[in-house]
Amino acid sequence: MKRPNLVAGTALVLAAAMLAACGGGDSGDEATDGASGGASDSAAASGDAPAGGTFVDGAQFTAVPPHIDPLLTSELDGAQVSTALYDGLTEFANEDGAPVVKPLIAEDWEVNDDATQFIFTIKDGLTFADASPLLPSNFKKAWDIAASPELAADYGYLFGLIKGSAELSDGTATELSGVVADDEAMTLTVDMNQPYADFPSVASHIIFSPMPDARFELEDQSTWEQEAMIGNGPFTMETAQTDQEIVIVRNDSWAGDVNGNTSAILDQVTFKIFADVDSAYAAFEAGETQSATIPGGRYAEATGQYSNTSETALLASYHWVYGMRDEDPLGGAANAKLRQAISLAIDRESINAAVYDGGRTVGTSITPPGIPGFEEDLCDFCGFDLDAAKAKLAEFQAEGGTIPEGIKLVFNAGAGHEDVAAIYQQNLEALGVTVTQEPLSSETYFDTLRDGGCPGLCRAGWFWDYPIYDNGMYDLFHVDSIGGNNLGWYDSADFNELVTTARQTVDTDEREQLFRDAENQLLNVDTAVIPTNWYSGDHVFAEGVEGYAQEPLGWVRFETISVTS
Amino acid sequence: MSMVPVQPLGDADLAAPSDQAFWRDTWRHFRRNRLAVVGLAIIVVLVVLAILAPVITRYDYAAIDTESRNLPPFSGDHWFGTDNIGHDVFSQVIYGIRVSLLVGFLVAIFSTVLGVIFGALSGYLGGLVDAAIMRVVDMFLAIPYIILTVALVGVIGRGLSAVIIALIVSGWFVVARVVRASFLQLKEQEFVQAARALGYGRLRIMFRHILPNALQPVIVYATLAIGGAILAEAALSFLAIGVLPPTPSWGLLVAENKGLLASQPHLVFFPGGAIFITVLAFVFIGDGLRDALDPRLRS
Amino acid sequence: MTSYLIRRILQLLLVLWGALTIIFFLFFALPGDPAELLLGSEKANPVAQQLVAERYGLNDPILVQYGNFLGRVVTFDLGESFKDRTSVNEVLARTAQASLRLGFWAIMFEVVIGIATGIYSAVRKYSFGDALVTVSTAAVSAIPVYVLGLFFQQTFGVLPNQGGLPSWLQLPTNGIGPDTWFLFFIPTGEQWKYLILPAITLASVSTAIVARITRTTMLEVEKADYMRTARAKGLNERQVLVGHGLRNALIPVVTLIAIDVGTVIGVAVLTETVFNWPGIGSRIARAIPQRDFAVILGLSIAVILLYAVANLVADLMYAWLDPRVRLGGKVAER
Repeated sequence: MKRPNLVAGTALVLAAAMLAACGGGDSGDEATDGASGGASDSAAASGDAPAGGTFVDGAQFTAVPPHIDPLLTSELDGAQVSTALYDGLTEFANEDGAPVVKPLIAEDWEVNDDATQFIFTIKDGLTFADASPLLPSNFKKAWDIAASPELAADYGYLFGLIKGSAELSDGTATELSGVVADDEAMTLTVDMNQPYADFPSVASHIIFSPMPDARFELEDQSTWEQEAMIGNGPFTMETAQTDQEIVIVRNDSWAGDVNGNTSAILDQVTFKIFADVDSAYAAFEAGETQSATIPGGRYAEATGQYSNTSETALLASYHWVYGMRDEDPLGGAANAKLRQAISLAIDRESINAAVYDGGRTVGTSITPPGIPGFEEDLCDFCGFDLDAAKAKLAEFQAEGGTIPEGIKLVFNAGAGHEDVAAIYQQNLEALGVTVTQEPLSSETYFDTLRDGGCPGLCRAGWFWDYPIYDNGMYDLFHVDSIGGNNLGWYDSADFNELVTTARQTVDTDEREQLFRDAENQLLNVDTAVIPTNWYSGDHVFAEGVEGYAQEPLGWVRFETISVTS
Repeated sequence: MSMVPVQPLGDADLAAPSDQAFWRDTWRHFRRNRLAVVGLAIIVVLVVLAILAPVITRYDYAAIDTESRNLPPFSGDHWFGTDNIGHDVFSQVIYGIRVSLLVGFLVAIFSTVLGVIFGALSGYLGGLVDAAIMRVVDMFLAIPYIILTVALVGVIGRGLSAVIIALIVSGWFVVARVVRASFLQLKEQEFVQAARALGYGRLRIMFRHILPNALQPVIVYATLAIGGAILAEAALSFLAIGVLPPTPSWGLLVAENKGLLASQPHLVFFPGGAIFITVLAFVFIGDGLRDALDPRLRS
Repeated sequence: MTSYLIRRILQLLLVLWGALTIIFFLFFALPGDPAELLLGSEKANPVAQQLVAERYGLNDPILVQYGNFLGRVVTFDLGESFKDRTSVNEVLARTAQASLRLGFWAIMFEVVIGIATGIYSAVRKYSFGDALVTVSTAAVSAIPVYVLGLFFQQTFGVLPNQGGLPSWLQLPTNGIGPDTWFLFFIPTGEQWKYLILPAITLASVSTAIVARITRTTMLEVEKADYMRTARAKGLNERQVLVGHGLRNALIPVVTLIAIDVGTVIGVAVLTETVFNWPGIGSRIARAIPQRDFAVILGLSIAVILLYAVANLVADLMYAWLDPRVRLGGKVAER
């Protein structure tokens, strides 16, 4: 998923959340209603009578969300609401600091030897918040809608893994032939187009959520989110969203999650919608909301004053991609050494200190720590070394290369990247490379790059949708993703082959090694991108709020939050 | 932003302003208005500072220095402090004088010129010409200023020249109306009839005889419009459709740092204060000019 | 009076037609692909593309498009936002309510405080009070409106909560609050707390101008012959001022207030954004970076209509106040 206001993934349990919950539980007997709060292991995991209370959130929406429907949303803020309302087949639990995919609505699943078929057994007796039954066909029909060309969902490409998706896209079929629901046997059988062992992980993405029967009667699927959405998650909606707020209430028929939580604590969560991050923070400081996103430049001040989530490392990368087409000033194979020189000249520590008050972690690869298969210091050109950069530049010029004109630093305006661009520009001047800044409108930024490519260096970012290596490699850099999230139009035959093979490899260790090889190609041979840093948590929350944490995938699990008045 | 109200002329006598004594008198009255003199002094100082900008500033306004971030005012040679990546606020504010005065003067001058031309033609020639021009003016005036400006910027694009053009285009209508009103009145006066009897051509009568008499409200408007243009540019920057960084526009600086009002007030107060002082100076000057030029208040 | 009224209404319709034509050209006929403009970031969405094609007929000759456009305006069919598929008419209905309420109180404030201040400073001409008023009105009109708004937000919203100011001064920083009103305009319950800061901010610049104009016209009017006559007749100063002077002094003020309705809308974009007041202004401001042209266009049309009506009302009041206007006299027409 990308930021600004990224695309969300599916539920993920985080060690920190566990720790916060446990820690909160011990000291927070005020968190529960006088019940065995103090003694229980974690206030969050209370299976006793919920404590109630209302939480007013000011951190999620610093702009009106384009979508909150799980089938349509592609930004983190809208997906926050989706996740609170819907549960899918699988979910991630944290075991010894490593995320493991566990069955959620599915009781279990079987996979055949070459990972081309998965059979999910759905738990019996589950319902949606409106008491309608939750059956395998609720998944099947929802997926048919999500994959349909009429809906044009941003994440619809995920269904490309499944057999029958091509026919659905070009209109020769009206459903996914690779998905078969058997409501008698309570099974959902999914056939893949090719071997893909990670499918259960991908199935945790909210676009694979089940939908209640009420939805299938709608004529226009895009209007589902304009009414109160009914789901099967820890919360449900009773009133439709307005321009000012979105309200969700506890769903007492929730089936619980993989961490042992069986009920949300809060009665209600009110998401207030603001026009920008500064006014949202002002409202927090005025006591009108109980959480907020830290605005740019106020990191030190905010973390000094309020409880915050800045200790959490997020599975998200902030990087600048090179425009890699031959016609781009820095693109093409001939410019590889120039790109490497530039990468060496960027002072990432100083960017981290100046722009993020030291709050982030300097990146040594695209893939962040916490993704299985992660290797430390994968990138050869990510340390700041101006001498080495000049030497590399000299090498480049000795081989006949010339520094091109008209290199642009492109980024979306008004989202805090101006300062990073200014430092990049200064670093490049020191190397002897002249660039100009080109801010583009935030709203159409990604579309502009998708259509027209990147004339130099372009700001990009990515929040992992689910913690697997593939999500960063395929979705961002594979040739299939050009026109999607491959903003630099990177197309390397070697990289493509490594990734394609990796996706089809069933053995986990082999697969992870292939992905590492691919990333090595990306960073050290072709140098198509400049990893800059990895995100950290950036929320503050008010006194009396317990169990508030950001998970590595970037979001907050509202079912574990409790408040004292 | 046309917050500028301009009075139509009354029926009082008007002295011909080609009379040197008239302007000397005007200056005398102006000088007596202390606020106006203060305003004038401020503008003179600003112009001098703008010219001397490269001499009095130590840093380039776009230069960043990640070693000296977030410095409060009066830290070493960063007199106004620095922002979070080390921009020297003093340089930004001083170079910002150039941007603001440029925007203010260009917009005021060109919108006034356009307004005068069309207003004069409309008022003097009357008939169809008048009707046509005035209806067009009404049509543009029917579109709220902000929507017209936003649409124009949307079409022309962002950036300093785009902003100036958009503000000029949306600004000349009020002048046209006022000038027309003056011309309507003045063309009935004796000296115009005399000129006509003498056989002078229409254009000459319009621009050499009538216009000087009609100038009073126009001068006042133009002065106040300078301040109005500066505020309008600041508003466009706030809505993120104004000039592009790193142009050192005061409005852009305030818009970028508005969230830091509580924690680092100097980042907002210095550019914001600069806008305030400059616009205020023009308001005082405009007031002074209006009082000095108004024959009814001179007696 | 009736003939004047009819003339003005015909003029109004002509002007409206012209304004809408200008808007049409700005949006549809200029270089650049209007389909792209209209779709904004929904470009890739085939359903949205189809909607645009159906509704706007972008492949038809420009005159046909123009005709359809005018037809849609006349039937008040403002279309649908491409972002969230809500009807612009609905958006307009919701946001117009909020804007009208805020605008109403801002204008109330501006009229009452502005005129009172203007009269006071005219009567106490050249006194310290007058000087104070002159300087402070000048000062207020020199501050960018959104800075004033942000300042209020911090002072009355954040500081009382953090102990910098007594907590009874605390006002909300954001939003429209409970949205409870009596007789559409009168805030009930806690509503006034959400209303007061945005209303004052919105009114600030206009109040300053109204005060200054009132002062100036009062000063002019004071010297006029009919005032001398009234005094000679033995009326006391207050009767003279209010009965005779004020009516004439009010003429330009009334005109100004009408123009002001338009300014209020412009300033309202800034004020509503700062305070997150869900009116037309903030909705337009939000639609701009989203390139949601259906919304921008639809709301702009509504605003133009409102503005035109306000101007008409002002002109009628002007005509009522000054009979010379109706009779087509020598008084310079504004």
